[in-house]
Amino acid sequence: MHRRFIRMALLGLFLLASLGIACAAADGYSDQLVIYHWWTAGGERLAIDSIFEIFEAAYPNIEVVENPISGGGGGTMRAQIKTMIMAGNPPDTFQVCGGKGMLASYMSVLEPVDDLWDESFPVPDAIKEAVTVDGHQWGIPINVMRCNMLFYNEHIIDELDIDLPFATLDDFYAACETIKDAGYIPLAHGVGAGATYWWQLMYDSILLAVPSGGSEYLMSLYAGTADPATDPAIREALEVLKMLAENYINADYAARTDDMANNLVVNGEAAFWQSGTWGKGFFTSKGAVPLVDFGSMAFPGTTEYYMCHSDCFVLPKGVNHPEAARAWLEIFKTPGAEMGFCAAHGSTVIRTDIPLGGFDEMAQQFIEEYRDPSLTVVASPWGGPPEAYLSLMPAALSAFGEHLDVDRGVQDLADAYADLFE
Amino acid sequence: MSKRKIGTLVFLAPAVVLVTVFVYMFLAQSIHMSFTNLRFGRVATWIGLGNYIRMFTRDAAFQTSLLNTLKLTAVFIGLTIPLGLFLAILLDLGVKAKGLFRTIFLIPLSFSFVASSVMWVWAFLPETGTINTILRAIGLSSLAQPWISSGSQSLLSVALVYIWQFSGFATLVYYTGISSVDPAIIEAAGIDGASTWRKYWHIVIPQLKPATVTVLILTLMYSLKCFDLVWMMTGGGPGYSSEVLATFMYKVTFSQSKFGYGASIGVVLLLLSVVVVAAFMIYMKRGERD
Repeated sequence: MHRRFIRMALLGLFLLASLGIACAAADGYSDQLVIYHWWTAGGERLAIDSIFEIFEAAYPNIEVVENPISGGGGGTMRAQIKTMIMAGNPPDTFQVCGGKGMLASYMSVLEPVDDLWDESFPVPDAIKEAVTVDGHQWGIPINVMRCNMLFYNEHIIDELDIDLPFATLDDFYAACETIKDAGYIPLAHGVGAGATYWWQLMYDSILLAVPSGGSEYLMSLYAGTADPATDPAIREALEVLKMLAENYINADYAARTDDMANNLVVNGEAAFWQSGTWGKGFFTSKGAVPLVDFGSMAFPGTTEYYMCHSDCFVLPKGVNHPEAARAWLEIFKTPGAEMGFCAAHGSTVIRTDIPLGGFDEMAQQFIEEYRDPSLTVVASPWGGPPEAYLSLMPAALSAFGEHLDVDRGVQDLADAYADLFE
Repeated sequence: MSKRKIGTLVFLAPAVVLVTVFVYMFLAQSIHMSFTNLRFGRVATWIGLGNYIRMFTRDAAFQTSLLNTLKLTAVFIGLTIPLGLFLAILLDLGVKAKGLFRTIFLIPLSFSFVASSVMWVWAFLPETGTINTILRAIGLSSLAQPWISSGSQSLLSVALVYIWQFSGFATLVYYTGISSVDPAIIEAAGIDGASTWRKYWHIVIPQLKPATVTVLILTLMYSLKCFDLVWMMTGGGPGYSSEVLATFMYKVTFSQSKFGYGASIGVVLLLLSVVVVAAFMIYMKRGERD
């Protein structure tokens, strides 16, 4: 019985090995690309698929092993990536938010890609600077989005004859009073299911608008050189947030997701909704027509700023297929890839040599704003500060939304900031 | 050693190896990590009890999470066990369509936590949710609540969903326990003049200790490691009002990249489970000896 057991075990191992060899031989690929991203649905899914099509046509010998992981604005995917990298098994490439702070959080496990930033990739210096840390570039972006935007329901604005855009927050408050008196919700907001980073986007946009704030202050906050316990901008911005929460935001914001908040504007129950330019996709996916049913403008008091967010792919250290990974990053830089991606995704092309034709009027407006040299480019909360910023600071803002005590809010933000940069 | 024993060992070996590697070795690694300041992309250094001192002396968010976990556990267990027992007794009393009720009680348990979360988030919406809409429709609008949008009710809302989902399981376990009680004893009590209430209170329920241990340990396990419902329904908010140890550990580890500190939170969660289960097992053993 003992010999029979050994014979059966050996036969089983032989069969398994044969199966493995047969499978490998049947593939016909000479290389592989293991890629992680979080574009799993809607326009984002179509966008990444357009890149895969281009890549597979250019490199038919490279097998693409795709790993889409949705959730948490990329947080779930990043959790998986960190585990893999710490286990010594990095993917060949993965998606990350472009920005100094975010890339600095991953820099120690990435290879620089300075050589890919050549004259074949014409983008503004501000975009290159956003992926530059310690003198090296750490990623290749495919798009850019302006985060300090306010979308509005065109029909409500026309009905109430409201003048746009708002140069100051006071202009915005006056319009909100008119909208509220007419029975509409002035500002739709949703931070449900843990998406408290929507509080952060609103707060950081307000920091740009308040008298003691502005771009230099926001950048100092992201760089860790601010002092939230004493800086007047922090208190001023909390006062604005309190004003909005008490008077103009829907009462059930804590239970609503961002999509549910957007529904309020699409359905004509609310006038405004803050998002980045990607918010256009929320409207068009529900059948709303740009510049007919909805419009967009800079967040009140931030007209001169372009709060920039981009999606990048990076090259981890010690990958199994470095050639395939670099090939992927090269494809990313091409005009065809950008145009196909951005048309489906709803974001803005970053190459300055891509013509405006082929994009709808709102998308052309977004591209013109991006290319406007008079706007001051600032980082966004997704890319500018270290990664933990969007875990620690929004929790303090979420708690503030409950108690609306400015003194307590300042202390909570200061404590979170100290924890972030300890 | 006999051939039979060798065969037994051979078949047990893979399971033992898997449990040793994937449970105990990884547990040991986590415990070791909890004594370091390991962060993503950085080399770890040994800091001894640094993480543990920090969490109990200066991390208000951890302390809130710990308290919330204990509150959730107390409410969940405190209501699921009596409710399960009550429903099991109702079934035992011979209610009509017993089979149908058994199925209805078990249906929530078949839902995934994610599906339950999505469903209940819609139900809990303060303005348009099912619960408040029904309350307003029947003239009880004064009872309409903010539910998950309020820091004072978010944890309770999560607990209610947990109770809804698990009470059927408790009912099934208790019903099985009741069915195994010797009917001759109950009949004898009836002959001696005992009322239905006294029969259950003095005869049936005391014999349900094994069922209670089963339900208690399983509900304790689920409540201490509660993640899915909290993550999907509230994300731990508003603020930290519904943050529990499992969600806080996830955020510290993966959003803040503090792997060492996250491991120490995991160890605290483990110790909490071991202490509570051990205390209860000792209590049950003493009860058996008496």
